[in-house]
Amino acid sequence: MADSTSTVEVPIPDGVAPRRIVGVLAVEEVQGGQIELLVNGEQRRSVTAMRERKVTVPVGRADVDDDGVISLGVRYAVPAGSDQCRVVDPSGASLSDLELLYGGTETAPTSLADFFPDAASRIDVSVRPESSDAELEAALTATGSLAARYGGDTPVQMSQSNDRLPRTGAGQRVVRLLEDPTFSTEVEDRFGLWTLTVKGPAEDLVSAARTLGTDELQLAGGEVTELASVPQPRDAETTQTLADLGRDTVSLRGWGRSTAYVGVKQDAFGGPVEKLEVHLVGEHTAVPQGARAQLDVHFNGFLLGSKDLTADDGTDIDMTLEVPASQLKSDNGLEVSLSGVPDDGCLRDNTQLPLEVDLDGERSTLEATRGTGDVDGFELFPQVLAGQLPIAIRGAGESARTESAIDASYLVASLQRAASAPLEIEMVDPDEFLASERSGLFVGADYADSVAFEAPLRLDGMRLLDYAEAEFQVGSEQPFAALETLRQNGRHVVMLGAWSPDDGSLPTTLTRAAVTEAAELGWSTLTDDLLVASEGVEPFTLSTNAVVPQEERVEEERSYAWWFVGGVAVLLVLLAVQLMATVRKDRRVRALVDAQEEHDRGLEDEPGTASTGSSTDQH
Amino acid sequence: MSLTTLTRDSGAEPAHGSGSGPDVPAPPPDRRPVPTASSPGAVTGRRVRGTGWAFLLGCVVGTAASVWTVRTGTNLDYGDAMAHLTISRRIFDNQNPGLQQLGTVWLPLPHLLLIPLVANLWMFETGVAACVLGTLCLGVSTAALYRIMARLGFDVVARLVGLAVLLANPSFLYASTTALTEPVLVAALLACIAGLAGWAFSPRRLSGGELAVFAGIPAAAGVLTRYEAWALVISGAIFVAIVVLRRGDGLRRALVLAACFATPPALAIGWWLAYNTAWYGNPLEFLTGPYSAAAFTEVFIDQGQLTTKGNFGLSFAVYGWAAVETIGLWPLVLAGVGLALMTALWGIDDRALVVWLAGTSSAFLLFSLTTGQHIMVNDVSLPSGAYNNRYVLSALPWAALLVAFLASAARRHLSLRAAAAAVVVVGMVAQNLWWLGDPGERMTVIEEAHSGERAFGPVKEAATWLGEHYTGGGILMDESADKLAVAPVIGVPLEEYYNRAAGGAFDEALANPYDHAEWVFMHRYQVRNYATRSALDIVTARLMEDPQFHARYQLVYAVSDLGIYKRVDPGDERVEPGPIDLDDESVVQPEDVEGEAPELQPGIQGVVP
Repeated sequence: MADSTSTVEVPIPDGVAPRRIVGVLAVEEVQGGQIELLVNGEQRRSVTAMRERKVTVPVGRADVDDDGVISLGVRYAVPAGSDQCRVVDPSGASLSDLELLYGGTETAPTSLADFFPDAASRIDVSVRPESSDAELEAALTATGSLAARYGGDTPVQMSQSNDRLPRTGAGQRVVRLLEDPTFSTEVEDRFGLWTLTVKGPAEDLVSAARTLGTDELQLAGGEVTELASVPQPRDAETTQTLADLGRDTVSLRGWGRSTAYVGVKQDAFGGPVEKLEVHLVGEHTAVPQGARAQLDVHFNGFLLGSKDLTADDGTDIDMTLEVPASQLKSDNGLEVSLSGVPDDGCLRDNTQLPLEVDLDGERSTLEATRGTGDVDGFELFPQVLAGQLPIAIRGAGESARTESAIDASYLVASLQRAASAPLEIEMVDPDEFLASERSGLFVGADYADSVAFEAPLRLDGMRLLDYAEAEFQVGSEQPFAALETLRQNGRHVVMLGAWSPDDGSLPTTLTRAAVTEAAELGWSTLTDDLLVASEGVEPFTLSTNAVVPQEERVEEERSYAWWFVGGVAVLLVLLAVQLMATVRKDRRVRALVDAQEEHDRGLEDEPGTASTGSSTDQH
Repeated sequence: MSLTTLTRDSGAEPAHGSGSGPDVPAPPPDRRPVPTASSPGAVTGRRVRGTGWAFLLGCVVGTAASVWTVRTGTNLDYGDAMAHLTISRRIFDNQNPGLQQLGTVWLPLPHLLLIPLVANLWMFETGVAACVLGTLCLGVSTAALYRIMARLGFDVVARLVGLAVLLANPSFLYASTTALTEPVLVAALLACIAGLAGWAFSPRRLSGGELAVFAGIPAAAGVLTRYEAWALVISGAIFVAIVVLRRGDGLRRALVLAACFATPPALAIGWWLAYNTAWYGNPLEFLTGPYSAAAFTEVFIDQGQLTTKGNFGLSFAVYGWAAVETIGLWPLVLAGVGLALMTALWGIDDRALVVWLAGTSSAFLLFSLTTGQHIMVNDVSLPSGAYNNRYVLSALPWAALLVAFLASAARRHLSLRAAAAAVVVVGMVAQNLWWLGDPGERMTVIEEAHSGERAFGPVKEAATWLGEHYTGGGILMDESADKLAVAPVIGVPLEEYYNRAAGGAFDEALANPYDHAEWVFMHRYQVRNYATRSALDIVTARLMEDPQFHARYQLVYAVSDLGIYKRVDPGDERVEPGPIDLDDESVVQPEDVEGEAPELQPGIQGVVP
């Protein structure tokens, strides 16, 4: 946070009595002194400043405000010296990994409007083992919609209705989506878990699922007969303001160093980005005489530019900075830092003029140039999807299909959290998807699919190169599941599949291990273009280049020989043409020579006539 | 044309007329005018005007490129470039000096040529020695290409176009500022072809001796530089035979002249075999020994990475992609059109065969890739990467000749020529601008240099530190171990080293380092990611686990998996340790190491090719 006080809002489930909030307190630059922990702006505790420590803040029901949240703050108070001088202004203390300990029982949700709490501990979208495609599509859509609503700390995934779900306490919810001729919703306590059951015709079911993660749900009344989602146009212009990215204003205050962070996902620009131009507009306070101040702009930790506010005549800020392709990732961070040093390098309470920078979120922009830049593999997603996520599921038998759909749900949630806006999810036929040019997700792929996709790793026996960094080995006869990204004819696909020497028993547990890893790590942290799960080893990511080239791929390359053959054939044809032309020319010359010799013989036969040429030399 | 000038053999026999009259004695075969297929306007005499200027132009461009790379330090980015410089210097600056230091990894001529240049320590450590040689080679290549084009009858504009293709190629210019062997190879190839063209289109029958001097000796230089030139000896001999047969001089004379051409390179090859026999007891040591290309590719075959072997299609794709990224798409397109047009106009006459000679190295490399003798890695190979793509630089003269042919063929259509020339020039400029937009990605030769820079970064840091702090006392290190061929960066005379090249002294120092070397530069953990077993660090294998070594030596510098140790001598001034990062997670723990260190072979240099 930019201010000397960092605050975070902790949502409290209705009805429970909060007891303690536990978290990790970190300080960037420890300079002794105390760190004050604030509840709703008032000091609740103070602890000795350390680089990192676990802290517990006692809270009670009275601390919960009307919006159902507790505002938790942290302030670093550096002690002043004997001359009342503090060297650096408070900054750089933060709280993370917060956990709420509470007592009591959660208030039961009474309607669709209050079914989803502000903070949920876990959400399951439950499907029957033999669900219809409409139910699976609705469930996947609900997973995406709810993943967009909740942060990465809340697991959102599909599960089979006959699975025993873990109990995670207040805020746990279950959603059931069932195909039915009549649309209806019902909130009930099933097996001790608050469950929302939505029934309806296929198209209504999907539409309702899309609404679950939106604010529209809160408008729903007690008796709901329709839950149609209103299409939300995705703001995906190549120029985004800071306000579009969630920061209406960026305010930096105080002496010392204060930093504001703005998350910049490539997906926000409607597609992959090759270059970014950052244009920051705002104002700063006048810098007191003798003091020094500067504004630094970093992108993913790389210094983009700096402005000396001391030497600045006016108070305007108007900076245009270019982010090179090499610094662009899928999920990026723009950091604006204000550094100020008073006249004698010393801060005295209440005697210092304020130092402040405000950036206008509406007028400050980021302008993107379309292109993939230097990112590759998993990092290309979700931006290459341009907001649409077609999902093709290959599965023999409905139960297997449901299992594949559950695998897909892990990936949907992970991709959705990496996206800047809800993805438009759609289930498509796997063969149609293969034949299409759409980017998307293909789950349950087999060997033939991997060949059809020209995937860098075919779902067949593979062996890894013996790299020094490798702590694992996957043998050519060892079953494995692979989550890989591939590019085919200009489109980008995430493919999930598995291989086993015995084709009859494909290792579904391995695919689940792979997608669980992708979901738990978070899509943004996946590197390279291949995630492999194999028996006996933790799932790991690597580059397909680290796999010993498979025989199929090597064999396919033989076709390039035809280019060589074609080139040689063209040259042979040209040579033949040239040869024929030469022969024809020779014939003409020969005929001409014959005529000449005939002519010469005729002249020799005439008395008193001598031939020309060499015969004249004989005289 | 008067009918009286026509004879029945006008196609093959002289346009100049020949003394075919029955009473005029025929001159001896070598004195007779030669029936040639040279183009109108072709330069047929020994002297070709402009050769000197072309040489100077090449030297100027090479000098400019050298200034750039030496100032940026990129001329030492390739590990091989540093190894070539080291081999040259250790022939005379070593505890065990002599020709045996040439080794068998590479053919010897580039190292021999570098000897007078690396004698100067500054030129050795900065790589300027290689710049001088490369620049001179660039001058020779430019002059030879110019002479070939003159022999083929290309006009001045076409010759300039051909030179532009050669001299405006950033990858070739970069290579010409390094100690890589491509500049010497290209110079030798072009000089040989220029000699053959001069012989083929001479107005008089040149003797076998002249053929041996002007074409055979450059070919000999080539065969002692790279194996591509061995193929040129074969194609050149065939070319000589065909030309002689076409002249109607008979099979015997064809064989004699082909033999004259092949004699100097054959002698050079003979010398090479004798050298291998003398030092290693095996004339084919370079082919079958532990440091041979075969041994090098064996590791890749074992790991299933030599996918071009037995796969002509993939070999063609890999070679083609290397050509696109190295020679450039635009020059290649023009060269393709030029090849088609040349075939349509010239067929396979002597002029066309001269141009085809320049394609010999390409055919050889395709053959080598398909048979698994060479490995080349780029974006289309399996697996992908950037390695050895610089080999295709030997095809650059072929492309230059074909583009020049295209420009020459257009001279008959003057109205089109200006437009065509503009398109060619704009295309060339655009090609270079595109390349320079992201050289590390778009030019695979530069990409490999960049990866070399990254890979050698830590070891160069350590080497620089050692060079700055070295106060004498000897350095024990295995220069053949992974990424330790950095002697130019250390910049210390090579006689200070106890390394594999030092032969018996290395054995003694390994057995008793304390009495020999004050400094030890080695991997702190054994190399695992090695290309050949010779890349394993013998010093590490011997000393790293020896507690007595650690009791007597102090680690004074550590970076990545490398360490510099200094002997702890009583009363010595303490060396201020440099940066030491022992928590680097990139290093491999000793227990992870597989395999054993190779046996030491005294006197064998062992730089990984």
